[in-house]
Amino acid sequence: MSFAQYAFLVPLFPLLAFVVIVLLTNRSKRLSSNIAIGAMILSGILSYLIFFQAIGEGSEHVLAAAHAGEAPWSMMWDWAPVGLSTIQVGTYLDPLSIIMIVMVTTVGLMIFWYSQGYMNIQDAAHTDPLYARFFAYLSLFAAGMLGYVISPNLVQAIVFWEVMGLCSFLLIGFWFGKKTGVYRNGRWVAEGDANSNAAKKAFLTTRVGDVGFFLGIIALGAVAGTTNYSEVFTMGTLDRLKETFIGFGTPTFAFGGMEIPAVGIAIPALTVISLLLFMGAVGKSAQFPLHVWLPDAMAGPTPVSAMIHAATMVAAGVFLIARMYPVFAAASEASHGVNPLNVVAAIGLFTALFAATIGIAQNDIKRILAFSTISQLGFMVAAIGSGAWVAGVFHMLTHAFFKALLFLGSGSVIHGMEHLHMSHDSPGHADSPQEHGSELPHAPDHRATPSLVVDANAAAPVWAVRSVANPDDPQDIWNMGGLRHKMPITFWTYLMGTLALTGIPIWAGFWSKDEILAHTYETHQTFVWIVLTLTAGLTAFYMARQLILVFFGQPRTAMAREAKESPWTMTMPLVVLAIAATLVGLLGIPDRIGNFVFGSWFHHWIALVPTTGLGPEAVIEAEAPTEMNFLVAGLSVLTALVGWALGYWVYGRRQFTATERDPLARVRFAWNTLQNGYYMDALYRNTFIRGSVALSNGLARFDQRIIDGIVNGVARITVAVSAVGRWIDTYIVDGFVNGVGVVTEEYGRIMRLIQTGFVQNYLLVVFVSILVLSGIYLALR
Amino acid sequence: MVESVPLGAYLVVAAALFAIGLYGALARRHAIAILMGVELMLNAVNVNLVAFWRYLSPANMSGQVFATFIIALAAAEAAIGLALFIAIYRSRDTVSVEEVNLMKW
Repeated sequence: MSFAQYAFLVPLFPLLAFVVIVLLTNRSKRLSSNIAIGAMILSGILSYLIFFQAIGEGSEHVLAAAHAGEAPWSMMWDWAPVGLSTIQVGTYLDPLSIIMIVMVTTVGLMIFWYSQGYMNIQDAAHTDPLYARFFAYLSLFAAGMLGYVISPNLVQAIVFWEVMGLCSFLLIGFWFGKKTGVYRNGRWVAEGDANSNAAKKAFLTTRVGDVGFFLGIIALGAVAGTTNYSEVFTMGTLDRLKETFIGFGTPTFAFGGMEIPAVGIAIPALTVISLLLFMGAVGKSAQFPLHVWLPDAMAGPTPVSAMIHAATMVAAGVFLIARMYPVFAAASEASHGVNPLNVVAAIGLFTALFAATIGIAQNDIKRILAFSTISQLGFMVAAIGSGAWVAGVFHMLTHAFFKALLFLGSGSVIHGMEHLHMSHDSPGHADSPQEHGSELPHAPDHRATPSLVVDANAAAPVWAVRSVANPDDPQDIWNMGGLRHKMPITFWTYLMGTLALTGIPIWAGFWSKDEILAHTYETHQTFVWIVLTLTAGLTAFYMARQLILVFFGQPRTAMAREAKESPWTMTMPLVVLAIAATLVGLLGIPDRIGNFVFGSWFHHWIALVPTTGLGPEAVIEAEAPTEMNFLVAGLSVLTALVGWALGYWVYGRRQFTATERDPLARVRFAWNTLQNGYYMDALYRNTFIRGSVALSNGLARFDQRIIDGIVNGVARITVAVSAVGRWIDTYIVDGFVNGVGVVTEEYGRIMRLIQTGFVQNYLLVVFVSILVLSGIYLALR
Repeated sequence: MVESVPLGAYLVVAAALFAIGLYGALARRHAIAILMGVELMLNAVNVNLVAFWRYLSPANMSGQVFATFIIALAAAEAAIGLALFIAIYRSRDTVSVEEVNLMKW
């Protein structure tokens, strides 16, 4: 029995859970979450069965399939006939997608489990009123992610991709109704409005990339005739596409014996397709310049941040590049002008460094992690772009575990910090249990008269600025401190995650990050290597800052003093993920470290993927053994340790107070720039948002003045014409009609006089008439 | 003997009769008197018919036949007329044609 043929059930279980919760068990909170978790467990069991069976079948099976030009375990069903071809759906299992379903179900299950505690199921008075809906959304999201990674073609992929986008939107804006005030963009707004603005921002920003993704799919389908991976990733197809150009006009044409050079444009198809697909990845994986949505997406509940905005959905963009790597590689080999892999590497590299620097100056615990996620995604993108495919995928896997752990840990911290407010809340006030912060000082009037002309600030993105410190903000690291004694389990697991993220040896992040760095060093991409190493140092610095300010020293506020450890439903997933974050890197240790020989089965197993269908040479090349590069590893560890030491030196030597300015803020200009994310949001607000608002307002005025003027003018002309018509109608037509009536009436009045009613009169007339007529007759005869 | 009375004499008598009948029909107010006038005019025609037959085409019976028809017709007419008058009298208590003016404007 092959479990792989049941792979379609992996996304189906969470999808069914979503349907059941929404339609049937919506009223019952605990039952709903149990159904969601049960579905996740079933998916997870099936994923692990597929995983172990695939390992059991081993490389030979994969190699044989690779030679035959097909995916090792895939099933296809016809879905929609389109023209001459048929769009298919199905499952496409290769080591890459198998490792993904295992990762997604494992991390997902932990997050589902954790969400019960985070949404306060153990405390009926504070359970989230939309608890069941939360689990329904999470299930739908899991279905989307699992369906996406096992998609056999890009059409199915974008369907599930958009399901994820929808769930991301729904879950970021999950607390759309919060009435408490938060300080955003220099003014107080209702937190629910800030949340729904963040959701809209995320949805619209990723939509920009999705347009490119969709165009890329269309372009690939147009030139290749199919988007099925097993058909596109063949030497024949890719060789053909390398020489395919899309565009307008003719390359050359003959005219009177002369060759006239090209008219119009011809673009190399593979380059265009690669760059368009990469656009989708840039949006989804929050790469520069579409990264702005991810920090704001932290408005969602923390399990959502962990699941969607750290471990899985944002990795979907990286997964897309990894999956479509044969196309990128073929486009690079064809080398028509732009090299798409260089673009990918450049964007990833820039994003990694860019986001890491912003992370230094953030004060919101989740926001730091958000920029860290952007930075790490940049790492993966840069890795794949510079050819370190396996290392990039490996980093995606390890990152999913330790970043999910960090987010869940931050959620536990926030939950603990909210304990003070929670215990003072009266149950009657608990319609929104996560309410915190001060009441809105002056609530914006949302019921104002709707106007066609929009205020640009109303759509302004969310941006927290520390210059107005909120002493009630449970997410501000300056309000924390000393939590390691209050929340020991959270602290130790958080420490594991931080060590993994900063790349300290034996923790997961070290192995994957080191593999990326080693690859870039050994392939002489020195610039990439230096920048990524520097980024690793920055990562260590901002994580050290966060860890020290949150967990060490003395509590700086009452909230921190009153913090309590979270319930076991939250801490147990943390422990599981901490173990995973510590050990999962051991899957991918190099083949040889010095004189010790290991078998990095992960490397050799997963390396078979991008070579599927590309022929035996590529497979053998990818199977080359890896070796620990002590120079690279030593330097990266050294940089990380320097980062840690700097972090301690700046933040660890003395006790701060909650309202104190950050020591680094003395470099005021640089600090403000970093804290505001290089003013990217302001830039977008002042260009795209204000631009589109101004354009809309201009169009509104155009509408009001010109279009309405035309319409009103037409109306006025019609009125004038009608007045003339009315005059004609009144005096001429009616006059004629009345005239006929009057004439008839007058004539009748005269003529009726002869109708005396006396028969004798008539008889007299007859007699006289006869006499007259007879007289005439006689006279004329 | 017949020749002693010329045709013209018959015609004069008939004309006189017709004139009397016409006067009665036009001038009298009483409906029965009008009916009598009509009868007189019919009989004036009869006289003419019979006279013309006797003097102009005695071999042909058509003059007498016409006269006979007119007599029968006059009887029927009188019957219908009288019946109408009775009906009018019952509804309006009068047979004066001046007071039976429903068809007047």
